[in-house]
Amino acid sequence: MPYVLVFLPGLLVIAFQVFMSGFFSEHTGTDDQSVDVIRQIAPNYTPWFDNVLEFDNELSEPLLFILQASVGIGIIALYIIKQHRKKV
Amino acid sequence: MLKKLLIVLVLLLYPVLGYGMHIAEGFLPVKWVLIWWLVYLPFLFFGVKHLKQILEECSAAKLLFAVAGAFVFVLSSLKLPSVAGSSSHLTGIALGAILFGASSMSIIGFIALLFQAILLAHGGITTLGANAFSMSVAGAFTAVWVYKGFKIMALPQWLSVFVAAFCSDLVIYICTSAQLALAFQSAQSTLLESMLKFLSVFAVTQLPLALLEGIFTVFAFRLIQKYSWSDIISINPSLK
Repeated sequence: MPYVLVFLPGLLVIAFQVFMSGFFSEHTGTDDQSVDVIRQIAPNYTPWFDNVLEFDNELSEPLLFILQASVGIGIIALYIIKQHRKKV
Repeated sequence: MLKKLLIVLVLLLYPVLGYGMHIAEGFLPVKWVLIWWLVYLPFLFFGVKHLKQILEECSAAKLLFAVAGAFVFVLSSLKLPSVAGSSSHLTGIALGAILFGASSMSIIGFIALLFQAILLAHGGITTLGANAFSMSVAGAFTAVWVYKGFKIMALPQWLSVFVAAFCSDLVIYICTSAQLALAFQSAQSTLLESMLKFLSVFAVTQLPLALLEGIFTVFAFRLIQKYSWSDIISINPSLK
């Protein structure tokens, strides 16, 4: 099996994610929606801690999620290659 | 094999990057931050101990545990839009819980959530104890109990895995709703009413995602079954 093929779907995942993040950009995360509910229930509540890192660049977050997905896909691909070699 | 892998990864293509279910940074009062850290830390401690023992006993466990962690990393990085105009993500926690035992997932959950909290401003450091408890304790133990329950009923293994992952995903969101309701209970409503308010946010988005969680987990389980079944049995003989 040409092992590079195992990584190909991973690359497709990343490419498609970039495309889809634009397509569904108006969808609100449920975590943001739960923050809205908190604001309804406790309008005087003020968050007492901010995120450690917040990037101004819009591309930073998608790229970091891609990094996270890539790490996972890389490990799974390496596992498949290793086990496939063992069997052959 | 490659065809199956392609199907799994192409299914993963549908989601997009993003955010989802965790309690945002600073959105738990200090009292509840401390409570959830105190509740979560013993599970993390026993998880490390349990995993250490597994790694000492089985040399193949290292790679398989990395795969279980990678599965969580991939699934929790993918945002899935729903018809309601909201979005959330899967967790992938059930696979590792079934293979390695529930407590081991407290480590993977911690690492994945820490990564997201620090680098992605998703979830948070202060809310990590609560988020890790819901995802890697409540979700993982649910997966194991449901899997064992279905196994006792002698149902097909794939179905047990599917339902375990489905229930695990839903319980994570129920737990998150309960955590928020406990912390933000309005004077005019009961705890249950507050919880239902938060649940209504997650329910529409999460039900179809829980189905997908089940499908992905079955695919991943079968992949591991195909390549490493003897290793898995030596790690967790109860899977026989």
